[in-house]
Amino acid sequence: MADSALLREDKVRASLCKLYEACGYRAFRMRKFEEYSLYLENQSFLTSKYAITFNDLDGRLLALKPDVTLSIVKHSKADEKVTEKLYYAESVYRVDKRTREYKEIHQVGLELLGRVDDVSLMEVASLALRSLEEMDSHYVMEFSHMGFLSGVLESIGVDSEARRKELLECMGAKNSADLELIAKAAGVSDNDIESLAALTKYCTDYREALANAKALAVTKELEQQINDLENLMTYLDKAGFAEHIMIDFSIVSDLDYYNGIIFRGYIPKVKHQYVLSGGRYDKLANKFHPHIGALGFAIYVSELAYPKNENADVDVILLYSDADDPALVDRYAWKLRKEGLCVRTEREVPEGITYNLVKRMEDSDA
Amino acid sequence: MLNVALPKGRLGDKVYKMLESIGYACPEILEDTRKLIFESPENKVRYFLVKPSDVAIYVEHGAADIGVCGKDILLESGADVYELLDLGFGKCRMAVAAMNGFREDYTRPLKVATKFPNIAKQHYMSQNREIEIIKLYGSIELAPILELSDVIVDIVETGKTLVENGLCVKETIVPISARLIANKTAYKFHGDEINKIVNELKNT
Repeated sequence: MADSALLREDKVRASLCKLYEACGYRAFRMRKFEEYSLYLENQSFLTSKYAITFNDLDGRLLALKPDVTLSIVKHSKADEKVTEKLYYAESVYRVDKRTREYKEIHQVGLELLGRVDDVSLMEVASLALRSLEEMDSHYVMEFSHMGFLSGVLESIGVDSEARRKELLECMGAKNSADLELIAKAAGVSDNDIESLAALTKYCTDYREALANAKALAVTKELEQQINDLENLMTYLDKAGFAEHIMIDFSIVSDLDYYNGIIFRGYIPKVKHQYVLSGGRYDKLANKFHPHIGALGFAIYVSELAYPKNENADVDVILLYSDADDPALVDRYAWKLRKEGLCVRTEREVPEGITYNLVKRMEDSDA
Repeated sequence: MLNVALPKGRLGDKVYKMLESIGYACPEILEDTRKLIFESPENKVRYFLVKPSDVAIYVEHGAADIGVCGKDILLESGADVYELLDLGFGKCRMAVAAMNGFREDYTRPLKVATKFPNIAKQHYMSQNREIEIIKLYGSIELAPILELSDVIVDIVETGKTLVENGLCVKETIVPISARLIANKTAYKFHGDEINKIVNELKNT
């Protein structure tokens, strides 16, 4: 049976939505357009500063949404006592940084707003892992902690924000050569430089990565942050995800919004980027609701369109002529389709369509 | 199967020899042929010969798992890849050069001719200097001689080309060398092998 990108995306989207509904998450549907100002004021949360804008009849400047999380947070009724669990399957409109063109991207995502505790963190992380499993049995999810990263840079004496940004960029690229040069210039000790470089080393065993991180946990806050990360990894390990989880501090997100655990998911079929991205983004949520925790992730379902379709376009080409009764052609075609075959009716075998078999009306019992 | 993007030319030849010495031989690549893909099923490696400025794109998109390209190309393209090793060769620098005796007029934007507009923009932005970029594809040294530009931003090795054309280096922007890069997704699933290559290359 043909496996078009459209069907693949739809299948994954449906299975993900079913998964989230099974955990009591409610669907969030965006029917209206947000004002452009919402995105403008939170530019660094978005992956690109561009948005498609238009004026409504009242003259307000609206935008085709580049993001769903901002809307969910803005309209949330969550507080310290009330937790909202929402999922969405929406299109977002972003600029592709390579082609410099606007693209429609299909995103499926999940947000938990309100009271975030160890159980909710475990729930969201394991839902992210289960979501990856829906897409490919070979998947990997990496974890990092933005608060810990930024705290470490501060504690080893990197005072300038520009230097910290440069170091985070080096860590993001696992570029230990330039990391050493910049850290040395910033006056960081050789010991600390070595420990910093070790944070982005390849570690399939999350325990080894945690041990490397503990070497830099010199304050109570840093210790607590590593403990939080360790607890989560332990829970996920116990839940059976051990071979799919890794710690890698080369995942870097914007510090203005992400202050805690962050994660990214990868599948081997999609080679040009991660398919899932998420984490704790209390800092963003607190701009709208001061005392809540916020946790979530987004999945880029459009990326699943790219793997090659190995199957033929159709299973059967059913040939008919003017002498055939249309009702009988229709009956035979549906008889074959009920057997699970993809049947395309044609007068002649078409060019440009791959198929497995050709049948004629003479082959039918009718 | 490890997919490796090699830049066509001296750099690619040198990198191939290094990879050959650590077990990734593919003798076909040394033959005189117009082929662009070379495969060694025994050593589980596939090499692609690619235009140097395209290596980072192949790796970024996952068409190649690893590749080698100059830091200049990485900086200019901003490719989202892991930069795992400074190979220590192909050393040169990205510099600002101008005619001997050039005096900058700060009351107007500086005209900068370059093959590297992003690097040039970034450099002058950090100095808050307004510039006009003239993008050229080769023989950049001609531009200030013909008054097409005030200065150039280009790669300088020995500096001989500049001197022979009456130019000199005004400022070094950043040192350049060949880097081993890797596709981020490939690294998640083949990290052991890629890391082994990094460590073995470090030792050669």
